[in-house]
Amino acid sequence: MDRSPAQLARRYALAAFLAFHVAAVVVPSLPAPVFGDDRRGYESKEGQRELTRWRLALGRVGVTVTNDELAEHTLRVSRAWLAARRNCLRPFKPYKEYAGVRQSWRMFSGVNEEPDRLSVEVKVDGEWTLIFRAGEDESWNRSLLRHEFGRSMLSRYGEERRYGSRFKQFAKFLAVRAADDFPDAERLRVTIDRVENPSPAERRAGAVATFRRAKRKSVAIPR
Amino acid sequence: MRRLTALIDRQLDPREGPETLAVVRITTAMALLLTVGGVVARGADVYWRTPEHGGYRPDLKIPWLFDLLGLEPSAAIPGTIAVALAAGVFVLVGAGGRASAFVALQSYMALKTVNNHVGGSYEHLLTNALWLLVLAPATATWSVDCWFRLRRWASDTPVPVWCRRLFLLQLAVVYGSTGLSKVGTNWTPLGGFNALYWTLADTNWIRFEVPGLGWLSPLLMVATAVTWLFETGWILVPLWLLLRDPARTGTWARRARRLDPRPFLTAFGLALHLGIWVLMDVATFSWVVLAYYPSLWRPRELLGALARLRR
Repeated sequence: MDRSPAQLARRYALAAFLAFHVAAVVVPSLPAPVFGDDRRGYESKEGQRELTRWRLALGRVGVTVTNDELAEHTLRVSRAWLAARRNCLRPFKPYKEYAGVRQSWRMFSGVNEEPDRLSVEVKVDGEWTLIFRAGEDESWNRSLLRHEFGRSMLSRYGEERRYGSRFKQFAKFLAVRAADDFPDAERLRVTIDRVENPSPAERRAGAVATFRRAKRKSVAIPR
Repeated sequence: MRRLTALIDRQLDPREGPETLAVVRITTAMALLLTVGGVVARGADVYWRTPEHGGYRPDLKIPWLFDLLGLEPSAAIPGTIAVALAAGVFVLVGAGGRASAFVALQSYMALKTVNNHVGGSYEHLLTNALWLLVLAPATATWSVDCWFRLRRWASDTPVPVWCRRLFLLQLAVVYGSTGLSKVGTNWTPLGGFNALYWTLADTNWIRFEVPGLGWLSPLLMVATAVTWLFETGWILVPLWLLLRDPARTGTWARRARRLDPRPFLTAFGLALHLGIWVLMDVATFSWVVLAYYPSLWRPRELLGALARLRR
């Protein structure tokens, strides 16, 4: 088929754009390490558990290494990979920003064996009363606190040693909402517990989950 | 140069009926309406506001569109929600062509950008689909646009095949990437293939406590391995598409034409996402992913399936 120069130019421009789009979809989807280049991830209980499993597996094939050495090595490789990845992603940044073509698909990549549990209490006449506990008593503000937004936010803010000011902002936000519902309450307390679930075998033997406090914030209820 | 031109011709020239694109347009619009409508219905839009407007986070990010229009995020949220919902309805009924998809995309992007501490991967999948609807002539049939153009609801105006292939590529990338990202030992024999057990023990994401979870663990171990294989296996779908290109010859091309993984992918994917929807509360994740599934099928195959269903 004969095409005019203008038609040919349009055709090549479309082909070039589609090639760019395919690259913008495929390249950023290349996986990134779960803990990224953050040493704290490897030092966490979850990180240490993962390292131990890999150390034992490597030991079985004759590679002797400690958790610290394995963490150092993994961090070195992760940093190099992430630096290369960042450079590759740079040309696609405006496309991602303005056309919404984002490719982050780390869905349940490292399953959390110790998830969080949110509890909210109010203090009335010097006594703390539970008004919300995820999975148990969800009568107060359920639609908000059990919404996917709330849960995704709290799985972030529940991290120990991080997001302290965010967690306080969230507690203040709940205190404002509690002001009308509990006119006699003086303070509101938000707690994140780490749930230590039993393994399948332990559960079959009748074990139940235990809880360890990860974060707590108490704020005054505004009047 | 001649080979490059031939490659461009092979990718850009093929055309097909407009029905598959129309179905993807409708499923994407439904996913958008469910997502934004769900946020509003549960009052969760407060997560997109500052404390002065009933939210918790004072330092919301200003989306580029708000910046351009000089809008303050919290104050602009109600209007942006209304625009996103209206544009979603327009996309659903196929009115306004690519412009409606563009408005739906930009308004939803603005909403999900203001607070990057809330939300999930399904939101990216939704914006990706809306952008593909901007690129594709998805209102060629079964749309208000078609009615205005031809005074009838349906048309057989052909559309480029590459539009549908972009949806399919996106779906393959989502599954392939999420499969390759599952490097946590629980997805492997090192962690006893217990990923699904721990997922269903996490009260943050499940709808209800699964009875007899400990006893179900052998079944969940098999399901963990099969899920990982299913997701990672999607990497082969673009390869299969390339091999079955009519221009290709040779043993592998012949094998690719004989083998059709799509019935299995569709059946397994439907079962997987319906299972996720029943057991887990992960917002509209399942519906957004399933919105892409019609792109696996050519229009005549979809129409054939619809005709068989009617009989």
